[in-house]
Amino acid sequence: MNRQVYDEQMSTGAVIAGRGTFEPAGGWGGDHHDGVPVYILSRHQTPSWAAEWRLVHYVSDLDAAMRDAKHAAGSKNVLVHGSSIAQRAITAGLLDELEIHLVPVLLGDGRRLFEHLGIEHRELERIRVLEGDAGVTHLRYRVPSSEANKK
Amino acid sequence: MGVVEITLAVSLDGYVTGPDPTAQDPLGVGGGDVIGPGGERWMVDESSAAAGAVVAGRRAYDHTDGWGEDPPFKMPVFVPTHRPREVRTAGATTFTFVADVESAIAQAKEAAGDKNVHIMGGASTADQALQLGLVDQLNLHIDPVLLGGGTQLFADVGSDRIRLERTRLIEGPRATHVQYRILRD
Repeated sequence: MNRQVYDEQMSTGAVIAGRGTFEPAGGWGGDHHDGVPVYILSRHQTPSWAAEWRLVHYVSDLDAAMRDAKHAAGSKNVLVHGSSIAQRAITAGLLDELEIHLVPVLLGDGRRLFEHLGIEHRELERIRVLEGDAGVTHLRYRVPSSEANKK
Repeated sequence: MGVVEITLAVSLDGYVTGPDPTAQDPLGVGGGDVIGPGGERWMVDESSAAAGAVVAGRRAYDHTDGWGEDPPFKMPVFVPTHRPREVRTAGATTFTFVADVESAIAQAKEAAGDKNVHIMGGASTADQALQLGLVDQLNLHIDPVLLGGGTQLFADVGSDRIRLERTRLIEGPRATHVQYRILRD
């Protein structure tokens, strides 16, 4: 990944992710970066292996998680991590910006990034394009609120 | 020797049309408003000038009513279809209907000579061409929109990985234009 893009992700003030991202990653050892709080969307209880991690909060409500994460992040951004949670945040009108790391390969199969948006078309505003390493293209968009999209 | 290239406008969430494309609304619900033509005007001119033949899907042919009396191509167009019909000449364009994507590309290469074969879609034709390993270059015009449904590009390109090399990146006023070369292992 491009250094600038990586640094930006690592300078966020809170992280929101789904269980499907958090648990296979071993919960990032309880600290995604710099001791910022981590909110995990889940209908389940905190698993025992993560129960002692003071930065990790299992929550069931996306709105509440977003509110807490924004509060915790203060003037910094909130990193929304993982395709499922990103889609839910877009659908709920809670995502401000979207950064795609477009990797130069056709996989042919696997999980799609945008499969369950359940929205009507939404215009975005491209705010940055970066040529990353290894042919990766970093595309950054602003996601206008759903109100702003109604013409 | 020319290259075989695919040129397609695609939404950021990977659709080449909005939901429910029909003859009246070939780009689907909302698609016509947001999915631009295949790039900026100069790119269309560039790729037309370099092309010697076109491959176009049957659905696009039907939905545009064969591009009317005076189609813009002015070169041989090959249309893969399960419903064969006679060769049609309209203005300076000839449409030849062939059995499948493989033979459409083979005949288009023959007709193109030293020039490029331009695959203009749709998604199914592009996917089959990629799966068959017959494509050299991919031009994606990524439109800044989420459509939330429609005709997915790359839905059926087979299960083998296809590696690409980015050869050009242009920030257009609206779309982002990325050109890739298909790498052969």
